[in-house]
Amino acid sequence: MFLRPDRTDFQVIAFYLGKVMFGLGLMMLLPAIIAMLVGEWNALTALVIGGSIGVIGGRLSEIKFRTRRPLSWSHGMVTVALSWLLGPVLLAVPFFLSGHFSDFLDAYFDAMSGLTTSGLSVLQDLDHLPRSMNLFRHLTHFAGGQGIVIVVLTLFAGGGAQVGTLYVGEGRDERIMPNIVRTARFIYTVALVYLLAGTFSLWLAGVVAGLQPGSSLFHAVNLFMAGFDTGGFAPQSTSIAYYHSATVELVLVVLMFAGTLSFALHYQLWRGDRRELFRNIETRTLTLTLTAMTLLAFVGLGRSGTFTDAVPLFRKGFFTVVSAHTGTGFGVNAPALFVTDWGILAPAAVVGAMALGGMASSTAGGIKAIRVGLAWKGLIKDVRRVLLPESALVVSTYHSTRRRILDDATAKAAMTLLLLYVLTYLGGAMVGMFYGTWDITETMFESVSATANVGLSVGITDASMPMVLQLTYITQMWLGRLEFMAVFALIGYVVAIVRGRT
Amino acid sequence: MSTPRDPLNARAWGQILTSLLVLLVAVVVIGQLAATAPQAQLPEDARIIELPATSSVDIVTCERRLPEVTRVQGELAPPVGRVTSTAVNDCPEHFDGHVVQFAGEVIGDVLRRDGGAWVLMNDDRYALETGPLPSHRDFGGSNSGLSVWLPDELVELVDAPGGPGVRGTVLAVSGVLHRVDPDDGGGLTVRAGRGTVLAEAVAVPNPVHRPQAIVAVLAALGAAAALAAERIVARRR
Repeated sequence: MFLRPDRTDFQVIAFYLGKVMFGLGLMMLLPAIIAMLVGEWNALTALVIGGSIGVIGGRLSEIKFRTRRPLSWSHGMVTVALSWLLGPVLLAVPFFLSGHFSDFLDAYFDAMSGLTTSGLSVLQDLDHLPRSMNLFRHLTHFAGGQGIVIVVLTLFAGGGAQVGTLYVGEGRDERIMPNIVRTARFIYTVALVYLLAGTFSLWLAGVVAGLQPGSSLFHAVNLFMAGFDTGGFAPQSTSIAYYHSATVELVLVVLMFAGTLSFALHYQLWRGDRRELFRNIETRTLTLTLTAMTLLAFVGLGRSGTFTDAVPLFRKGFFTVVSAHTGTGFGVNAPALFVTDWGILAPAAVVGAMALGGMASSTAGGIKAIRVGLAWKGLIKDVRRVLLPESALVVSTYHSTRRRILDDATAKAAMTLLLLYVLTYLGGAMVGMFYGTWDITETMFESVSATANVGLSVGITDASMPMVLQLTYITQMWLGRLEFMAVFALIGYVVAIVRGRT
Repeated sequence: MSTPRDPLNARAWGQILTSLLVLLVAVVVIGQLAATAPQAQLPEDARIIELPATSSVDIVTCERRLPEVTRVQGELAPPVGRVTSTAVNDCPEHFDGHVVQFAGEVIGDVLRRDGGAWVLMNDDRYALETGPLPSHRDFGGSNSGLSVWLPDELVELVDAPGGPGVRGTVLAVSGVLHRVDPDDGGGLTVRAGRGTVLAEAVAVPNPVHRPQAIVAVLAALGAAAALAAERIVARRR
C-alpha cells in the first residue's frame, strides 16, 4: 500500500516545478531579443507574454513553496513527469499567439514535439513564420535535448546531490562524474564546442550552397540545434531537401551521430580514450543495426526501382536511415513519397531504425542501443544456459566505459523496457488504424516516429489530423522521452492520492 | 523514526484548485487574444490574375509494390495543364520525364549556383489564394511545393522570394519533371525552361496586435514585480 502524499510532498514538487517554469520563461528572452531587433512586434509580444507567465509562476512558487526538504526518488520522478507535461503548456503560449496554429492543442503538440526533440509538427505555413518564432521552435529542441530539468536546476538550484533523481528521471542514467552539477557542466561544455564547430561548418556549407551569409547563419544555428539535439525541426517546410547540398547533409550526418552518442562516451573520447569507441556495447550495437538497416533500405530502394544509382541511394537512403536511427527526423524528401515512391521494404527499414534509436543518456529516443545489446546478450546467455550442463556457470560480460558482468536483473530490465516500447509502438498504430484512413504500414511509421521522438512522417501528422490521434502522439512523445519510469511514478502518485494510506 | 505527516487539508486543496483555475483562465485569455488578432487582405495588385488551369489528370495515389511495377489507383493520362505538388507527390512516377507546367510562390532563399539557381516554389493556399499567415486566420494546412531549377534568365524574374511578412514572386514555369534528378542527388525536381511572372512580390500587412501588446506590457510588469517580491522575501529570510 502506498503512503498518501502529504502537504510537504506537494510543496517540494511545486517548488522544483516552479524553477523549471522560471527557466523556460527566461529561455524565451533570446528569441524575444531577436524579434525586437528585426522588428517582429507581434512575435515579440507573444514571447513576452509566454516568458512572463513562466517568470511569474516560477517566482511565486519560490516565495510560496520554498523548502529545504530533500528530494526523494518519488518527488524527483513526479517533478520530471510534470515538468515535461506542463513545460509545453508554457511554450505553447507564444506558439499559439504567433497566429500559425488554429487551436491551442496544435500549439501544445508542437511544443511537446520540440521539447521532447521529436520534430513532428502541425504548424501551418512554416515558410512565412517570423524568424524569431522559428528560432524559438529550434530552441525548444536545445532546451529539451540538454534536459530542461537538469539545465534549470544546475543553474538555479544550489544542491548537486539532491537533483540526481531528476537527472535519472529525464532518461539519463549514466553519471559521468561523481557530482551531478559537474556532469551537467561537462554536458554544456560538449554542447558548446559542437555549437561553435557545427554552426560554423553549417554556415560555410550554406554559403557554398548559395545562401546569403546572414541567412546562412540563421539556418546554421537552427539546423545545429535540431541536428545535435536530434530534434528534427527545420527552418523551411522541405526540411533538408531545401538546401540541395551534399555538404550540408554531410555536416548534419556528423552532428546527428554526435547527438546520438552518450555523454559518457563523449567523456571517454574527450579524455582521449578512442578504444572505448570500439569496445563499447552501444557503439557496437549501433554500428551493427545501422549497417543492417541501411543495407535493408538499399535493397528495398533498389528492388523497387526507386533509386538505382549510388549517389541517390546514399543521399536519400543512407541520410534518411541515419536521421531515423539517431532519432533526429530530418527529411530529404516529401513525406508522401515514403508511401508513393519508396516501396515497402525501405520504409520498413526506416521504421526499424526509428524503433531501435540511439544511445542511452543522449538526446536520441527509441529503445536505445544499450537495451538492444543487453537483451541480445541476455538471450544468448539463456540459450547457453540451456545447452550447457546444469552445473556450468554461465557468465556474460559487456563493456560500457568499463567491463561489467551482465546479471539477470539488468537483462530483465532491458527486456522490460524493450517490451514497453514495442507495446507503445503497437498501441499508437492501432489508434491510427481505428480511423480507417491509413493502413498498418503508415500508422506504424507515424506511431514509432512519435514514441521514439524521431519526427519523420508519412503525412498523417498535420493540422487536420483527428484530435484523439493527436493526443495519442502527444502521450507517446512524452512517454518515449521519459522512458516510461517517471510517468509510472506520476500515475502511482495519483493512485496514492486517491487510495494511499495516511 | 518516521517524520510526522501533514495531510492535505481543505486549504491546500483550495490552493491546488485555484492554481488550476488560474491556468484555465490564462488559456481562455490567450485564446481570446489569438481570436482578436488583426486581419489583413493582400493588396489588390498582389492578386493573381491568370493562374493556368490545373491538369485534368485524376490520380489518387501510386505505390511501388513490385520491382519496376507501380500500382496506380485512379486514372492515368499524360499530364496536360498545370500540375500541383500534391498530385506529383501522390504519383511521381507518372510525371517523370514529362514537360509539366507548375505555378507557385518562390519562397525562402534563391540558391544561386553556376548557370542558375535552386528555388522552392510553393503552390499551397497561402501561396496562391489567401496570402501568408499570420495576416489572416484562414488556415489551409501545411506548406506544399516543388524544388525548381531556374536558369539565369528566369532567376531575373524573381523580384523577391517569400518569407516572414512577404508574399514572394509567383511564377508559372514549364520544364521537365525529374523523379530522380541526378544533378540533385536524386531529388524530385522541375528543370524550368520557360517562365512568366503571375504576381510580383508584395509586403504583407501585419499591423501590431494592440490588445496583445497591452497584455504583454502588463505581463512583463507582473514578471518584474514577481522578481522583486522574491528578492524581498529572500532578503527577509
